[in-house]
Amino acid sequence: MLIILEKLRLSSEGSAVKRFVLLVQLLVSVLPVWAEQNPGQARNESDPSRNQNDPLATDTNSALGYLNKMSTALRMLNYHGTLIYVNDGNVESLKLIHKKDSDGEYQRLVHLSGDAREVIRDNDTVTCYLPDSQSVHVGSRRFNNHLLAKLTSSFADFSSQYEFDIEGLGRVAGREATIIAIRPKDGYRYGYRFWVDKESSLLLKSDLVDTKGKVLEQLMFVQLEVVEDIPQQMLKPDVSGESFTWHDGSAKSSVELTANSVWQIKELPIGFSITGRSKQLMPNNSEPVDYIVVSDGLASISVYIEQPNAAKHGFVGASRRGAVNIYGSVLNEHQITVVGEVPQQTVQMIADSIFYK
Amino acid sequence: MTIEKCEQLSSFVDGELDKEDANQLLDHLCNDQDLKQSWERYHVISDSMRSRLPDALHTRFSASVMSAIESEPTILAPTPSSTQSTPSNVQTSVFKRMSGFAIAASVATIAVIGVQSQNQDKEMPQLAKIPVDTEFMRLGEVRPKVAAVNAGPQGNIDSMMVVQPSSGFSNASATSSVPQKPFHQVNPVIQFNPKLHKYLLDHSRSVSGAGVHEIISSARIVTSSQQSLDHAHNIGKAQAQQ
Repeated sequence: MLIILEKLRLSSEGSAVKRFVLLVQLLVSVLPVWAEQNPGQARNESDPSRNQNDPLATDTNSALGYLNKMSTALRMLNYHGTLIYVNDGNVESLKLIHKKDSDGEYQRLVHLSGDAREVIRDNDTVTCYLPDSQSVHVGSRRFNNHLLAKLTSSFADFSSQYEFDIEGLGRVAGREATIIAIRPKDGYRYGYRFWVDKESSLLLKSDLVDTKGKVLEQLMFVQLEVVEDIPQQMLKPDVSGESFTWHDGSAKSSVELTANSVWQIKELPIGFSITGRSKQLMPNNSEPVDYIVVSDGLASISVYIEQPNAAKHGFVGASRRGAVNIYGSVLNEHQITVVGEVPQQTVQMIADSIFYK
Repeated sequence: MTIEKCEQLSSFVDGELDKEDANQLLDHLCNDQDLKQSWERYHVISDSMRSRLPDALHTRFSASVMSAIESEPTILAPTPSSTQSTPSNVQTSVFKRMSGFAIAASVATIAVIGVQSQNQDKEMPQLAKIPVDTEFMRLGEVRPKVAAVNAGPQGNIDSMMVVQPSSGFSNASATSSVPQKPFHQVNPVIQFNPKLHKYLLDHSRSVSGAGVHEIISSARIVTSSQQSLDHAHNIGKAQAQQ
């Protein structure tokens, strides 16, 4: 298209006929692009006049636009597919089913090889079926994907910690995708890369990347189908779980706490704040533990503070599994465990900053 | 550089120019600096339309390689004696000049790739890689972005898989007083302990609605097995005892 544009400019002194032919050529090449209404495509064509009228003109805005559409698509569409999950060099295959109807949102994720562990979410209630340990864990999630609404409304909060960008185009599960990158601005958080389906805006692939650019965790659809409706049958667990031990950590058994809790965090890495506190039951603990959630909007960290007797059997030091770092310490005979998909220095800093008021 | 030449060049890039005009154009191309730049630009445009752009471009690169070759004439790329070629030697001289140009182009390509991979190795983390942009970027304009982070001790953690209990911690008040600087003392990573499984599970479940998407936290739950962790831990313990 640009060649034609340049030709058009160059041939301004040429014959009228030639100019007309070039103009037709230009229209022919421009029309499909407009029809597609695709900002990612438009970006590859350095035409400044078009970008001025485009609300998603800048990379940041259009990257956020993609993320927003992706978040909505993930919540609102009916879809199912198979995906692979790569973590610490292990490759696992999973099956995902997502349903949205007038009653709410349901999601089921099943491990396809080995023990059929699965996680089923019915709105905010998350149930984990773990046949290998003969147990079922019920709990409620503390977040409800309000992130993207927050992202677009108060972007300034995020822009000091992360940089958003469109990185290019790709193809995953036989679908064309736009690659969106979220880069951290300091060493206290990880970066992300998302492949967003051009057709459905669903997430096709997701990378969690450390500050050196190493991919720590990867999720990728190998097959994905967007459908009109998901039959309820597809959301039933393969195992009944009747003979299993049930652990109920749902909202009923946990008590929300105020900010005046005795446990405080003196210093958090910039951008992070305490977003929730509660007392909740943990499996194999008779006493409820103090639970604190710390988040910077993208990354979340859980802080567990347990009764004195737990400290005897607790974990002390740093450990890691895939992208999740864990740091344990003992304070006032209490076991403190900090868990999050953030670098080790972040969990360690938080663990070291906790004090008893 | 005339308008006519530009039009010819554009047609040539599109493969629409006839042989005679092409030969003439190539003659000019070897001598006209502006035309040469247009030639490069047109190719970048055509590459971008086919989404074949490299991650970063150095548009002046082949020009500098060309001038370097010209200052050191070799048998492969002799300095043209005159711009007015006679019809009899036009074929051979064009061929010679083009071979010089081709060498310059391939050297430039290799150099661009080389510079890119070198940059990646050196200090540009994958994420800080310059994306394909509407403006043709120069390699010199690489923003440091995340690079500063690499100076932190975080870089050593992966190679520090020490299987031994950690002794004590850094003093809370001493370490937390400098929130924006990476820790100078990050404790070594201890092998994943099965005791931690419940925290991993509870954390993944509790925060499943946070972040950009929730699939990943569910994936962490279904792929983390208490049994295999116990198994791995027992093997680790057995090895430690030996």
